[in-house]
Formats: sequence, structure tokens, C-alpha cells
Amino acid sequence: MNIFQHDDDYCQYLKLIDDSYFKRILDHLELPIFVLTSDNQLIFTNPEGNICMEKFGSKELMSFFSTGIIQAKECLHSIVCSHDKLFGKTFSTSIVTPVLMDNKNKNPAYYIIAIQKVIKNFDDDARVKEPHLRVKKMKKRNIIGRSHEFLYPLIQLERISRYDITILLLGESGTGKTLIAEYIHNCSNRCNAAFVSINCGAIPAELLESELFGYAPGAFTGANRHGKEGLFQRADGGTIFLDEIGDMPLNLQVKLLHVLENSTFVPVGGNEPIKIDVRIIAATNKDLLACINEQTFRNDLYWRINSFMESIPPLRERKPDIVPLALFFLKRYNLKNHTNKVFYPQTLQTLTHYQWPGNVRELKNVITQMCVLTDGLIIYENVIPKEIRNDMNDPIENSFSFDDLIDQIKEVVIKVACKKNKTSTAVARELRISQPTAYRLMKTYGTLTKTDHPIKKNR
Amino acid sequence: MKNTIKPDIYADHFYLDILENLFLCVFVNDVTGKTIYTNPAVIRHYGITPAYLITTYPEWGFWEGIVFPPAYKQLMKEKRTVFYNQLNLITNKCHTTISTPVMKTDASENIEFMVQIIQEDFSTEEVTLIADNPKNLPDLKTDLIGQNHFFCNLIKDLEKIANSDMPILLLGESGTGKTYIAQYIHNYSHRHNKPFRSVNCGAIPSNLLESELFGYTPGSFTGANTKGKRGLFELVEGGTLFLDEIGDMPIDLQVKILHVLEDGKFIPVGSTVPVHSNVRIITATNKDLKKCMKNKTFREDLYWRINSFSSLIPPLRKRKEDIIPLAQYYLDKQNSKYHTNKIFYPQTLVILATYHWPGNVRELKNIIERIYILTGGNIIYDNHIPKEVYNSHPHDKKHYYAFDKIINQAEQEIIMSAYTFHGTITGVAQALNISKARVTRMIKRYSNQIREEKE
Repeated sequence: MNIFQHDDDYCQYLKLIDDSYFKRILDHLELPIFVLTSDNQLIFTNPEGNICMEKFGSKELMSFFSTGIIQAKECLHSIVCSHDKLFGKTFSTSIVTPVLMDNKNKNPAYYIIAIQKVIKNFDDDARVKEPHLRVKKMKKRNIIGRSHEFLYPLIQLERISRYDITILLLGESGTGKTLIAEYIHNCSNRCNAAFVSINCGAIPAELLESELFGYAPGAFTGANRHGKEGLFQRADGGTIFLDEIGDMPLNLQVKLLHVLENSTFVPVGGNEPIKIDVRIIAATNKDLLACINEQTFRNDLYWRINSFMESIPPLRERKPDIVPLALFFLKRYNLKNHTNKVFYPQTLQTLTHYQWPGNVRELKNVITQMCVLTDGLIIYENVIPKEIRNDMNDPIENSFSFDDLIDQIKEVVIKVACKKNKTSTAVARELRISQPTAYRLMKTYGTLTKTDHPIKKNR
Repeated sequence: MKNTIKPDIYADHFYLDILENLFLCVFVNDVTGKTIYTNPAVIRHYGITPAYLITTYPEWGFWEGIVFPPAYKQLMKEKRTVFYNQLNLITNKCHTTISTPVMKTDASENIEFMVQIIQEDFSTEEVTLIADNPKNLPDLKTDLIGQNHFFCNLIKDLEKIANSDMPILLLGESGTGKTYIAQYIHNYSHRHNKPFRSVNCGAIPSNLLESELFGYTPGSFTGANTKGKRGLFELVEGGTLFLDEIGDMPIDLQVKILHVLEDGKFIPVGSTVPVHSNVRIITATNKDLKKCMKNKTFREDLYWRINSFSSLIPPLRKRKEDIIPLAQYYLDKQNSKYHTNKIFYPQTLVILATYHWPGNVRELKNIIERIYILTGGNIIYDNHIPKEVYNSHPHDKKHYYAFDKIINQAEQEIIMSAYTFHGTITGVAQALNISKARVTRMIKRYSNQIREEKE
């Protein structure tokens, strides 16, 4: 029916509606809509379009559209045209969309043109509303996700957040464990104190201890003379998030256990234990029980940190969240770079079919990448990385042909001959071809010298 | 013109097709707020598919907290078209929405349904005619040589990415010029007047690699420089560091790289004080990193961080049209170095072009340099080509001067070597992008010619 893939039930639903109903919808749209064939034949317009034609003249309109249609035919994508001259100040941009009947036929059956209006007097405008009215409507959560699979653990965590128990988050790399830990912190009574996060797997073991617990003045060579405050001290009264706790070396695990049991620790090289009040949230994507069997994780620590355990589902198990997340990352990109890029619907559809092994982080990377690669305003499918588009073909097709190769050889032969000889006659003599042939070949391969120019010769 | 009638050639759901393909979002509600129809463009605004809206059938309440201010109240009261500038709380953008009531046909003055169209705001960006014409080959800015379509597009993409500071992962066989491309990205980025350094992680022993990358403090190990040493991460501050063969990097060093990528900090060997670093990292490997992750020789979290943008550099045999220009380029370089004027005999180039180049550009460069030295005269003939490149099937050894003879000889060489390699006419036709009939004709002609010459 069209390029967008709906599910069967919905297609069935659409088919049951009589087409005259859709014509009524089109007729009541407040923007002019035109449908044209590739040879500029008008095949449909709505009442707004008729008004537009009377106002500006159908000939002028058609000739204006033809340039957009030529563009759209070439790239088979929607084209955004601005036009100040023809329409004055009432219309801003027009959008030309080519419609393909099936994927094989690359010739559009017709083109849809929608013209956007410039509207000044709004009946109501969000920008002039009182700010507090807007804020009221905002959701409290700043975490994106509305799938049941994601909301269920999140609500559980919200509920648990006000109790000071240790939480262990499980989940694949890139599922947003740090964000959720921060969210738990913000929901808790400690929200006004510090939230400190550290990735135990991303910091070399020798440094981790002094990072976490700090060191006393003069503890070792090269250390800061005044000593250093550890992250635990900085998080006093707040929350500390220990990411990748499964990568923590065993000797540090003992120290951490001590903190959990007595709320005290001794900095590196120090004597006096320091008392702190910290809520610990830990996270890992390792199977900690297997680590216990391999003796890389302490059994007693495990039971202490998992007072409450919650696993964050990977992105592929919460497909409804992919599109809202994609929109969010697009919004962020647009704000940062002052652009106004939008997704083509099919682009978003394709993103939902992918497995996302790198989860939200991968999605974020892909969205940024697609934005950077898009020159225009509309983000089409062609900028989606190949592995996501599920393109099983060899990515590098061999389009080079026999004829191209022969062409290159001919070029080399002619160029070498031209270096040695000055005129086309001399080249022809060396290569044993006629002078007109030599002239033609030299012209094709761009080695014509000025003396060869026929006009000059005639003179 | 005014009353255009739908031509019969278009499908019976012609109007539906128009709505579905319309770039702007169209929305149809009944008076209770239930969606009757909406086109796929709705995904762009609210992140939900039309099918979802139709099946869940949400009422007005659903839109609270998504769209503000709502337009339906005024529309139902005043029964006229209303123009709203609505804030979409999902995309946090303001959109002009025009809602029109559609009356029942029975003159009862009741609204049957309402139609809404959402305008797109393209105004902040310069709006021009945008065309992605694939026929226009991008112009390559520097000394990267390539005419191959795939290769040029890839470079074009990298140029766009260059300025974004994203980590880039280059994939590709050895010798495809990954270092050159990394350098090219660096030159194209805003870091171009800062240093660029490259290091091959597979070629340096692991403990040496660590001090090479991160430097060391005075007296950190025996034999170390007493003043300590600055690592590459410090030396290229503000610039680009290219880590080749990242797949060969030992796992304990991967932690340190991860640390730099996450926190922008690293610790020199023997030190405990982290040093800040602002370095763009480009990595490359010809290993299958996904496999390495399964074997636990490569960290998964590192993979997702270096792989913000990955790019596959095609091997030379997949971009055959670049072989001859590259060969010419390397020959010209030798010529200008030694002030000579050597040229290729065409047949030589044909043989180079039909070879499969397992060592890619690096192999090509080495071979050109070798034949350059081995050639005494001014013309580089095919017999100067090393044996491994020279195919084993019989060559026409004569050297012609007539244009047609030279071209014929080239055609013969290409066809016959492809035929020896593929064995079938279909295979040759596919490989050379020509019709089977033409292959058959040429094979017949040239194999006869070979026989005649032998006799």
C-alpha cells in the first residue's frame, strides 16, 4: 500500500474505512495540499489549495512546484523549499514528497506538495502562558521510559529509595544504571546531599583505593602534600554509587565491607578511622554468584550489598522506549547545535527493529551519528548504520567494470603519448591511428594542448 | 483545473495514500478525544505509532502532560478552526497546530470529528533546496587517492564526523591505509593545528606500551630515564591519538584507556596522581572485536565507548578503479625523488589491476618501489613485475606501440586472467560487470589468438 509498514490489524482497520472519508479529511485540512504527476499534471487539490491557486495563479504555482519536483525525483526524498518571492508573507515553506508505489519501481507515481502558513494570531500560545502552568504539566521523572518492563523496576526502586538500604542494580552495559542510581538518590531523603559515582572497572586498581578512601598527608611519593579526601568522605550524608563492583579488587572489598558494617574507614596511610554516613548503591553486569565461585568476589560482601536487588532490562526487552529515547537524544542534539532536524517516520520504525546490544549508550551514539551525517533537516533511513538496517549484503559492492578498466588503460596510453609528442598528428603517428581518432581520444581524456585546438588550426 | 477528478489509474485508496505520505502530521479525533486516524508522521511528534493510538483508544486525558495548551475545548465551544501554538512536552518544541471541526452532514450543527494538522518549524536553520545526489562524487581535499564510489562516500562521512570529537573506530584489513585516514580525520577536525600521534598497540610489548602511552614518573623502574618521561597522552594534549590494532591491547591497559575515555584522566606509571587529558581517540583494528569480547580478551564497556562511529575501509581488491591511480601516484613520487621520468607500459598496469592485493595499498606501494628500482630503462615492462603478482597463465609477451594492439592486449589479459580465476563465463561476467555474450565472444577471440601465436 505504501512505504510505511503497519501491522496487519491496523492495515485491516484502514481498509475498512471508505476512501471518501479520507477525502473529507484532506478537504478540511487548513493547509493547501496539491498532488501532481511528474509531468506537472495536477490530479488533486483540496479547497485550501484552490484558494491558493486563485490567489497566485495556477501557472505560476505549477512552474514553482516543478523545480521542487525535479529535486524530489532525483533524491526520492521529501524536499523542503522556502519561497518568499511568490507567496509574500503568508506562506513559509512548502514540502514536496515523492510517492513510490512499490520499492522496486524507482519512478515516483506522483508528488504531494504541502504549503505551510505563517501564523501570527494564535488562539492560544504555549509561549505566552504563565511558566508555572507549564511546569505543572511536567512529569516528575526525568528518566525516559514508559514500557511496563522498565517502569515496574523503577517504581519498585522509587518505593525503596526513602529507606536507607543498600541497593544492587543489575543490567547490561549501557542500560543507564548510573542515571537510575542518581534518580534513586534524588527520590530519597538524602537528595540535598552529594551524589558521587565511580566506575570501579574503569579505574586502575592501584588508584581505586586512594580515590575511594583518600590518603593521609605524606602517605606515598608523589602524593599531594595535604593528603586527599576520598569519595566516601565527599559523599558523606549522601549517596555513593559504585559501578562495576564486580571488578573491585579483593583487598578493597574487605575495606568496603568494613564501611558497610561499621560506617568507618581508614584512609591510605592514615591512623584514625573516619566515621561517615553514606548510602551505597552498587551495580554490575557480571554474574556475582559465579564470581564468588571463582573466588574473585567475597561471599560476605555479596550478601551485604544485595539487601535489595533489581535488574534493569536491556533496551531490546523494552522496545516501546526506543522511540521516546531517540526523540530525546535528537532534542538534545538540536538544542546543543542549534539545529531543527526531524526524523522521517520510517527511520524511527527501523530503529525499533534492532536488538541494541550496546543498549541506550549505543542508541545515543547512533542518533548523534545520524544527526551529524544528515546535511539537511530530515533524517532519512540512509544514514542509519548498515548493521542496524539489517543489510545482509556485502557492504562494499563491486561496481567497477571491465569497461572502466579499459578506459583507464586508454587514458594512460594517450597521456603517455601526449607527453612525448606535441601535436595530435604526432600522437596519431606514434599510436598508428588516424589523426581525427587521436584528436577525439585526446579530447575525451583531457590531454588536449592549446596547439591542437581545431579553431586555431583553421586560422 | 478547479474540479480535478481522480484518474482511474490510481489505486482506490488514493486519498489514504496521500495522507499516509504527507510529510506533516495529520490527526483526526472524535469529540471524546479518541483517535480515528493519524498518519505515520505522528511518531516524530509523540513517539507512538498510529496503530498504538487506534488500538488503545485514548481519550482527551491521555494528551494532558503531552500537549499544552489543549485546543479541543475552544474548538468544540466555538465550532470554528482554531490556530494554536502548542508545546510538545516530549520533544520540548513548539508547533503550530491548526484544528478544524468537521460538521455532521445532517445539518444538526454538531461536530462529527475534528481534523488537525501540525506544521514543522524549519525556520532557525537556513532552508535551501536539499538534494543528496549520489552521482556527484565528493571532492577529496588532500592526498587521499580514491575514485571508488564507496570509498569516497566513506571519506565524506568521516569528514562530517571529524569535527564532532566522537571516538572513531576504523575497521579494515592490514595495509588499507587506516593510519592515513586517521591522519586525514585529524587534519579535517578543529584539532588540526594540535599534534597527531599514532601508536601500534600490537607492535609494542605491553609494559613498554603502558609507559609509552601514559609516561612514567622519575625512578619508577630500573633503567627508566631519571627525569621521567611524558606519555603520548600528555604529548598530544588537545590533539588526536591514533591507537592502531586496539584489539591487541592487553586487558589491563584497556582499563586505563577506558578511564581516559570516561573521566578524561590517566595515571602515569609509578604515579598515583591522575593527569587530565583532552585527546581525541581514533582506534583501528582488523580483528573481530565482537569475537574478542566473547573470548574475554576485549572489554565490552570499552568497545561501546570507542565504537561511537565505526567505519569499514574497503580492501584494495574491492576498489579496483583506484589501483591504477595509486600506482601512478607512487611512481610519480619515485620519479620526482630521483629526477627520472619512468613510465608504465600499459600491460604492466593491466596486470597490477587484475591482481587481488592481499597486502592492500601497502603491498602496492612496496611493489611499485621495487619495480622502479629493478627497471633499467625508461619504460616499466610487465616482466619487471614480481612473480607472485604475475599470474601463471600464458601472457602475450610482445610489446606493442599501436594503440589498438595495446588495448587489445589489455582486454585479452583482463578477460583471460578473470577466466582462469573464476573458471566460468557467468563468474567472469559478474566480476567484470559485462554481459555473458560479450565474455563468450571475447574468450573465443582471445583464446584463438593465443593458440595462433603459439603456433
